[in-house]
Amino acid sequence: MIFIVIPAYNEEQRIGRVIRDLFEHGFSNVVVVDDGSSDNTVKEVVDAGAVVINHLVNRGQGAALQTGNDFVLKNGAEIIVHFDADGQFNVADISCGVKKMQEENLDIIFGSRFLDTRSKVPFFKKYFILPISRIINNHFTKIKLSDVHNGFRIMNRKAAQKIIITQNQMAHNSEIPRLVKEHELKYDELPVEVLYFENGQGVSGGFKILWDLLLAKINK
Amino acid sequence: MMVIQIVLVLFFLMVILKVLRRFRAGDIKGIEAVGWVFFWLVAVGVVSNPNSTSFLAKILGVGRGVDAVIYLSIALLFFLVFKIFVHLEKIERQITRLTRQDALDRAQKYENPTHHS
Repeated sequence: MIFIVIPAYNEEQRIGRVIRDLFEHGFSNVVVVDDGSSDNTVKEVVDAGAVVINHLVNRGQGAALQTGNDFVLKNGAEIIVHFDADGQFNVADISCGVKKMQEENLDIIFGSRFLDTRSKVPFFKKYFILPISRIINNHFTKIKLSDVHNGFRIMNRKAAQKIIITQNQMAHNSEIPRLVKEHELKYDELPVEVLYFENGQGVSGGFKILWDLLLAKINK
Repeated sequence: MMVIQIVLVLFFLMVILKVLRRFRAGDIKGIEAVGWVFFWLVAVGVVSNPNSTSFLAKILGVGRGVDAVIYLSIALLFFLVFKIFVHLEKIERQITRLTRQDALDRAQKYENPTHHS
């Protein structure tokens, strides 16, 4: 059974469309983890017909993903897809990923914006922020990925059981590759399309992630 | 006595009163209260008689007693901030665990949705 897990925080504008899009592509098991939204995210999800589980207080994207993983594992998920609530990803990429995973017997697939030319990454982000992030990330995770902090992931049951996300905030994007390395999971990247709206993490978000990673090292 | 000394001594005495009040309210344990009162009494002593620290300076090889006190205070502050940091992080994780457990407990039993086609 394929489950789509979507962490959502104040996404009432876009979440409904994302869910309907997934349904139209034949993905019927859609679980949204509402991360303590203060808007109508929950209602939108219920109206769209997806399952919602909700954090009473906001805990961050990493925490929401782990809650989602726990839930779908309990409900017999064999394949879990992490997907964004804001419609940045292309639903069509999921099937390609699942197919690739099964054909190549992979445990986890990471989405990457840089393996084809579909994603129009903003200039500053592409040539300044991301290269620096990549160096830092590869240092922390010890595995080489062409993209960093891309929320698109597909994992099998085994990977989801091994990967326990402890980073509440955005640093989970670095934590997951590190755990993949640690547990020797078979991974690969998949070209995915990312549409750019005006949101996203700027440079300060990057520093917050670095800070969280360093803290985690101290706290070990 | 310099004005700063008077201000500081009054401030420290106020803190001691606060500590005692917290102790009476049951917010802190007896041993903690004793520790803090002792700490602030020492602070009062140091401020009202700065020369009392010169022996400390001699032991540590620092020029003046006041300098020694400042160095030690900064070290202590850093240590306390670090401790609070670690503690906060732990609390963050505990809150996440609680939130997650609660969310999973409240989640309805999952049924394969069939109402859309």
